Amino acid sequence: MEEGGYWQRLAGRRTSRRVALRAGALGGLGMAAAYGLACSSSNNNKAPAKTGGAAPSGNAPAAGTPSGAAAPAGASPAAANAGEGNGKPGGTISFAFNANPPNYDLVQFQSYSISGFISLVYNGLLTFRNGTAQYPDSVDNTVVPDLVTAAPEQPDNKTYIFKLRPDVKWQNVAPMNGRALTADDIKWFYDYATTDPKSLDKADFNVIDKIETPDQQTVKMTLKNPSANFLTLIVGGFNRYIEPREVGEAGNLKTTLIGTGPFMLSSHEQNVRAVFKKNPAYWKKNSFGQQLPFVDEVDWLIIVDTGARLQAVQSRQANISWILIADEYDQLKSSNGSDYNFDDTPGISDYIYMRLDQPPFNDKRVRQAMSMAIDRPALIQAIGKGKGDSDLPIPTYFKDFSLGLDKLGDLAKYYKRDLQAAKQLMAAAGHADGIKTTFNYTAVYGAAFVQAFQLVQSYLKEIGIDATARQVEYAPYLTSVFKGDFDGITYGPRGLFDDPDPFVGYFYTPGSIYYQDHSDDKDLQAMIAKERQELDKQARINIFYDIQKYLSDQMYRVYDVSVDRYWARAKNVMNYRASSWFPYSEFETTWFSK
Amino acid sequence: MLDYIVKRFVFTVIGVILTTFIVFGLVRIIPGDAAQVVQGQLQTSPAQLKAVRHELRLDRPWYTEYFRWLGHVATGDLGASFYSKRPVMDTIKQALPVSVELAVLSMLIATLIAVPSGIVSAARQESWLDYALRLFSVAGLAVPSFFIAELFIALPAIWFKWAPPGRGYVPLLRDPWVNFQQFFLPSIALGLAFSASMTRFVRSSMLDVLRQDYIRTAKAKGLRELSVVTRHALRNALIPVVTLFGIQLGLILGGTVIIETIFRFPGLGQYTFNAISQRDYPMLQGIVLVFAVGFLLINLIVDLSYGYLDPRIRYA
Repeated sequence: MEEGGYWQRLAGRRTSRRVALRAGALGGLGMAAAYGLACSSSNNNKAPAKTGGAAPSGNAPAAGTPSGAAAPAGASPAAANAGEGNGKPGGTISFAFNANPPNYDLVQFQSYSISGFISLVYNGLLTFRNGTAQYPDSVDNTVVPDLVTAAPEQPDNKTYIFKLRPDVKWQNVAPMNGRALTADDIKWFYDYATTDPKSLDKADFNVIDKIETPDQQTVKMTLKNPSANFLTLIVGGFNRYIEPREVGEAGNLKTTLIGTGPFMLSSHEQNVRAVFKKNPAYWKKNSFGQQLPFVDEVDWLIIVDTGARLQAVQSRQANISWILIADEYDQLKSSNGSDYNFDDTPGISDYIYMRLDQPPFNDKRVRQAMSMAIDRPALIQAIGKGKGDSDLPIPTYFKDFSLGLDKLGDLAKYYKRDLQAAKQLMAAAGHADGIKTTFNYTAVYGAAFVQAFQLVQSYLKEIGIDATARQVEYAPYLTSVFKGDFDGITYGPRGLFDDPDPFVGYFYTPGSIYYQDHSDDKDLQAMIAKERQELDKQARINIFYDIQKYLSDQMYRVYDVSVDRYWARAKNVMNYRASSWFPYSEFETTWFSK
Repeated sequence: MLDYIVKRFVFTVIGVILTTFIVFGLVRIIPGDAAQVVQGQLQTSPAQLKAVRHELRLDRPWYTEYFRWLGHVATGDLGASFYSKRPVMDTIKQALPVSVELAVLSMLIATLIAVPSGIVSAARQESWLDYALRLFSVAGLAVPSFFIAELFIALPAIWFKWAPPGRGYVPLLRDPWVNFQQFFLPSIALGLAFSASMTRFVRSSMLDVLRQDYIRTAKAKGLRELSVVTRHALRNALIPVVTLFGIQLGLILGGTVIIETIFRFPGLGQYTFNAISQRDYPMLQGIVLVFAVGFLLINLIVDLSYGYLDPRIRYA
């Protein structure tokens, strides 16, 4: 008789390898069958199919009109109650973002990683009316006052006189110590941005001839020539925010973040988290007389890993997400559809840029062929699940300025896939046997970007362009490839801007931050200079039409598609609307319903 | 014994110096211009770049810079980051406890899984339990730790709407409960991955010992199996495992890079990753040196522990 109980005998029983393998195979089959059964149900929570291409039109009131609690025409009562007028104090916004800013000086370092931080801490002379529930059009570019009392006076078309608000104070942190903002601060900042050798804003602010401060509440800017987009220039992107003079003069802008804004940087643990506390002495009230900001704290979660970032939202650790692509949107909607509201905005397009000063890409037939090789509808389907648009030199969401494919005439053919025609162009350019080149990219822009890159690479291969992938890390990418120091071609995201000018001015004007391809096209530069000085809107639109036709023919950059992006915010987050582009963090008027 | 200790210590010091040389050289082999990266997005003229290189001492001969750095290392000065200008030693002091805690907890979990599993697997050789444990160890070897980490992030979030507290590292003494919540998943993820190879090693070592004559004698004397395994076999079986322990701890320190990134721990692994991306030579040199010295010291301790574990071993 064996010693020990049943379980001991069972544990000690010898089993042959044959028996063990048989048991394992049966177990594996059983698990596969169970998996198949579990995954056989259809998933109905997919991103809706594309039904139209144009961005939704806004219901925005006229500029300067205070936002009211009354709903715009057609809006639901829920939307009305979510308005700024019903704001309640309290709560913490937790925002899951994917990058860590290595320094804070927005004049010397301009990357999306810094944009959120600076928008919480700084103000600008003017701002866009954006990010509020009453204005569903995320590209509402109405300019409203921020640090100033009203829109600038313009005694002539080269002069702008800004009157500063007398109640604006710097945050109460040394060395600013809560003192009042002065005109000298504004002058210092623009002088710094314009003249510092390391400034990335020099090309933008080059139009400023001089800045005067007749008194400490008045800033007078005189331009070298009339500028159609000067106001959007100083409102948009990184150019908006005013950095502190004392910190700048001490050379500490890279490491010190003190502004006039609604939130103060409390702590920043690199690659982990930053905490911003409500500025207790913030000078701004909304049009209802309510003190801003409403929320007490912004917890900026830096989560580089895409999966971990999504899970931070799924676990409700974050109550506002950063950008979600279609797959992530689907996943979040199926797991947390009842916890979040979802918004969508136009996405960033990607494009190929190349060394236009070197063969073979200095031949426009090669560039045209590359564009005709790309299957844009397939890209939209693969990356955006059908929601997106073919991209053009001026994106279609700029409804007035974008020409659209239907108005390009014969040039529209370069945006449609036609392999036969593309190969003919390659042959005519002397490359019937194909081209070998390097295709640079950086993976920091996410899995969807890399997937698009790989698809584009395969399309180019179909017309004989054998483009070997060369992945570059982000830091070296910004400092070499992004600055035009590369061989071959590069795939990159274009970005969105608040005025049509940067879509051409930044890319084709020598000295600009995006002047990467060495195009040096004097005719194009002349057209850009002309549109910048054309104050009549319709005349300016016509110049942009000419520019778009020119670029569609030259195809200096091969634009592919922009796919929609999604944002998730917890259902109790009110009065927040994701913006299409920087700074992602318009939280000044955001509040929690519970 | 004292001679042996002194000899091992001297070899360790030589190892450290050799390591500094290798670290210094390897860092500079990484492609990419550190001066260009430091300059950032600015369109830089050759003269400006030359000035930056001079400021960062990148234009000096490598051997003079090596000895200069070595001299500073001897005084505890690891230089300053190219980016933040912050002393590297300050960053290391801040980040080291995070990585050490993660490594120690992971090692503990790996040991707690591997040792009993290996013992049971050996004692019940060819049983279904043995096969199950061996299957587990093979799976652990095959599945990367980062995949397990991603599952540990994703599944609690999906099933329970829960994720580890994301407020940054909270030291154990400040808030043990939050510290536990932050560390238990990443420690298990890393520990599971390393327990796989350890399990197999313990099993193999135990099998060797269980086949020895003295074990047969112990059984023949009528001792219970538990007593035979734990009192007579285990200690001898663990001698080679201790060696593996030392090597694994070093590997775990390296494995923290990905885990720290996924779980957002501000440990040495994260800083290493950033330093490589940013070509921050001083930071990279300092951190890798700390890893290397730690690894050498651990193995020194392991070597010295043999004499305690096996009285037959005498250090002549």
